[in-house]
Parts: sequence; C-alpha cells; structure tokens
Amino acid sequence: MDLPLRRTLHQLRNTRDLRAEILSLAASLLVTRAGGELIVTDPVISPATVRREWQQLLPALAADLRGRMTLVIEPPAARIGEKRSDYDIGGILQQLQKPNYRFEILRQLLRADLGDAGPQSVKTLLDAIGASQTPIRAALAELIEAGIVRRRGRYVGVRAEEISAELLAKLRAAPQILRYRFERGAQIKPPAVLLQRALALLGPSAPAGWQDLALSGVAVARADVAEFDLLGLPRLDLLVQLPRTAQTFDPALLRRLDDGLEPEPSLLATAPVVVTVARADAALLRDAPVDGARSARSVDVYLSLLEQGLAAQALQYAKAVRA
Amino acid sequence: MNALAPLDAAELLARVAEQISPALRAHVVVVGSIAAAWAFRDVSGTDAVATKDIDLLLRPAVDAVTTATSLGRMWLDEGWQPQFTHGRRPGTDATPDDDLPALRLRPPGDKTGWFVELLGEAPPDQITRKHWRRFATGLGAFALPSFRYLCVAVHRPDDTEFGLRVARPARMALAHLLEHAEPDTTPIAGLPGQPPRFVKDLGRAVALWWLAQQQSPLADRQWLAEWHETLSALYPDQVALLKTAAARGVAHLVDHLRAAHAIALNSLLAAHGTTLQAYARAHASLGELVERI
Repeated sequence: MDLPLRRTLHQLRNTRDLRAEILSLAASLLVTRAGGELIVTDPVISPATVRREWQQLLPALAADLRGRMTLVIEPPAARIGEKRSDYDIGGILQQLQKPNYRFEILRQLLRADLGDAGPQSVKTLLDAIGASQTPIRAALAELIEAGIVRRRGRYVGVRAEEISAELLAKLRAAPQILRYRFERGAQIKPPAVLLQRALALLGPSAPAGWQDLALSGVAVARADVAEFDLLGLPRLDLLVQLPRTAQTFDPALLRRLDDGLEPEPSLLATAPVVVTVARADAALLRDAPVDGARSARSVDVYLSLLEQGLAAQALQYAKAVRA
Repeated sequence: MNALAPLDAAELLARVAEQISPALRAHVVVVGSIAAAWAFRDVSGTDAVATKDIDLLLRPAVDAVTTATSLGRMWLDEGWQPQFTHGRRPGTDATPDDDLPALRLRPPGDKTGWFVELLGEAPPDQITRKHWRRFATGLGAFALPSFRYLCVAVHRPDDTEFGLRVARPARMALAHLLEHAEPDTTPIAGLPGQPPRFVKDLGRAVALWWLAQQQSPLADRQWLAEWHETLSALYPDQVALLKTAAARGVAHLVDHLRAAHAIALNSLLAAHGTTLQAYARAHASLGELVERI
C-alpha cells in the first residue's frame, strides 16, 4: 500500500497559502493512489478559518482526489522557557512524490533526441532509470498510447519539438518541482545574485547535500548557446538528482543560497528559485561544468525552459545543441 | 545611547589612521562595529555603521600602557575632547584603578560625532574577565581596560590600505563566545531595558555570523578554519576545553534571542532589518558551527 503523502504548513498566516497547499497536494495525488494529509501546525489564523477554507475548496476537486485528502490541525507544542512561537526556525522536511516514470522515460528519450542518439531500446531505458520493469513498461505503454512516444520495432523515441509544458501536465509526465520564495521580511536577492552564490556551492568541493544539485535553466542555456534569445535571469533553476527511494528533501539546503528562502506552496506564484527533482539511477550531469559549477545536461535545461514558459527559447536551444 | 547616524567605515578608518603616527599604527588593532563594517563592506548596506565609538586595541600587552599614554597625551595636546560616562572623571593618585574612566576622545572640529576608546591587550596571565591598568594624562589618571579573550579577536588581523589593522569577524565572534562561557550579567546602562552585557555581546556574535552568511555561502568553512588556527596558535593545549566554553556561550543566549535581536537591529544589523526568525536560525547554526570545531 502506498505511503500517504504528508504536507505540513507551520504557523499558517493566510488562506492564500492554505489554498495553494491544498491544490498542490491534490496535484501530487494525481500520480499516486496514496492518501494525502495536510497538517496545519500552530496556525496564526484561527483553526475555524482553516476548516472553513478546506470545506469550501474541497468540493472543487475531483471526488477521487478529495476522498483521499484529510486535514489535521495541530495546536502548538508546549515549549520550555521563552515563548518562541513567532520565530520558529524550521527544520520541516519537504515530502517527495513517488518517482514519476512517465517523466523519467521522456527525460531519457529527450536526452537521446537532443544528443542525436535516436530511438532507444527499452532495455536501455530500464537500465538508465533503474526501477523494476513493471512500472516502467506500464508508463511507457501509456506514453505510446498517448502518441507522444513512437515505437520503431524494439526501439522508442520522442522529438523534443513535440513536447510542451501543457502536454507534460496533461500526460501527468511533469517532474516534481520544488519552489522557493523569500519569507516575509527577508531581503530579496535578485536571481543574478543567487546565481553567483550557487556557483560557489556547485564547485568541486560542494558542501554536504549540494553534491546532488546542479545548475540548470536559463543560466546554463546561455552558457551553451551564445545567441540564446533572453536577457537577464528570470529565476535560478537547479536540478536535484535523488535516489528513487528518497522520501524527503531538506529545504534547509537552500538556505545556503539565501537565509530567507522558504518553500513556496503555490504552484502558480513566481518563484525566484526552482528545484526540479529527478529520480533516475543514471545521473545526467555534465562532464564539463559551466562556469566551474556542476550543471545539468541539455535535456534538463530544455525541460526547465519549457516549464517556465520559454517555449520559443526552448526550441532555439534544442536546435542549437543538436547542431 | 549614542545618536545613530550611519558613518562610512572606510572613511572612518582613514580619519582615525590620519590621527595616529605611522610608528604607533603597528600597535593598534581596530575592533568592534567599525571592524565588522569594514569586513562586510561588500554586503549591501553594511559599509556604513550606526555607531560612533571606535574601539582601538593597543598591543602588545606589555607596551599597551605606554602606547595609551603617548596617544592620550598627543591627542589631548591637539585639542581632542574627553568623553565621560556615568559621571566618571579623571582620577587622582588616590582613585582605585577600578574607578578610573576609560579614555574616550573626540577629535576637534569633527561634526559627525565619532570618538575613539582605548583598550589594552590582556597580559598573558590575566585570569579575571576584565582588568584595568592605570595611565596618566595631562587631565589626570585614566584606565586601560583589558578583556580576557580580546587576544582571540585581534589574532592575525587584516591589513588595510590605511595602515591600520582590523580584527576579523570570525575571531571577534569567537572572543565573545569564550568571554561569556560564564555570562557577564552586568546591566548595560546605556541600552533600553538595561540588558545584561552577555546578551549584547553574544547577540553580536550571532549578528556577525548572519552577516558572514550573507557575504558568502561558504562562510562556515572560512570561520571554522579561522577558529581552528586561532585556538591552535593561542591555546594549543586547550582547544577541546575552549570548544566546550564557546558552546556554552551560544547556549546562554537561547532564552534571550528577542532582546539580543533588538539590540543588533540598532547596530550591526541596522541596514538589514533581519527578522527575528532569521536571527534565531543564525543562532542555531552558529551553535552547530561551534560543534564542528
């Protein structure tokens, strides 16, 4: 039986974050049969408001989803000494979704397409992703049935130009994406400043936890393609390569980038830092780093461009890296 | 409490250096807020300091009184004005050392209001937290205070283009942690609510650490390297003992973070508006850093 997904909102201050977390949890349940639990601990707004918002929003969700979702409101834990409820220092891990094999398959096939390696055998896919055959073959069958993956004998392949963010969402083949925002009161650093700090963290002697992270997105696209058609850096994109068995991600890692970064519960809000989670066994990182920093390969850069709505630039990028 | 108008750290250091003969500069290390502002001048907003007292530590310990006497006489002859707090006046031969005022002098003709305060490096055999050493000026007797662990703060200071040397933040923070392994609970009369001395000093260590993280995402490595080097050089046989002492220092602040944060917002963190939550995280991670010594 699947383990339930748990999301925790600590010291919830507004209903906007609550709605965003409810929708985020619902979206996570689309790719699993597990239940979903939203835990609201020590809310600043009243528990009655939290319950009312929950009851108002849930009917808008599909019955299958809302039937698996539960709300838990926990009062503040008793603390010794000075009251510290207004400066909780975090420490809450982010729950990871189960590996999405639709995404992992497309990622491997896109990598081959962008590298002009052509269609791949199913065995190659199985080896790269590393999971057991059954879920991968099932996911592959769904992608073939949807018409996005084409079979040629024992080989399968995709064309990067036929992939879009909307299609990935529709096929439930989008990766898990962790978004981070600046907490209230924090000094906001522009993405270019965050990039400079990330470069220091992604060097050969990365601090603990950062060995799994790599630079991605526009910063790498611009380094790969001199004529890349975008000025400025809209956000900092990172890729994290985690084992398939990993269940949590520690957002404290991101505090090295800036102390004020915290998880952004809204899927729709603009986030200055975005981390895409990849779960395949085969690490797809550069042999040669960009600006001395460990970097994602072109497939993940391409996908991150799509995800942030830069479809035209993604196509330009795909064309350039193939050349 | 002093009026808090931001002053540019580089400009202040240049002005102070102008007032000290090149021969004496080698015996002076700048510590405190101005040293922090200098070290973090590349962190947005930190190049200015919201304090006006410039702490000058005189060393070596054995010559500190002689240097203080020379500087005091020279500056008083040039018309610098002494500043007195708590009604203290220059002493006579009959005044006990502990009742003498520290020498604080404001330069003539300066409208920004900054002044210097002289401190002395502690003699190697100093066991007490604070020790006063008498020296004479034309106005009467003053005292040179020596704090036990200031030698940690001024170990291997940075050179500057002004010829003055400036203490490094990691070592200043460590000095505060060690100094308050047994907390100094003396109330600070000049601050609202008269918080104990250890709250201000330990809170400053946290503020320095928060700024260091703003300056570099790899600040932990730098601080640990400096702490290792300092403790190994000054106390080669007591590193483990002092690590425990520093950890106690961090722990003493845990129930006073709100007060320490409020003080820091009026000094080192004035330009940043650091939230209490962020400050508390810096306190927690400083404790973790000490554990890694």
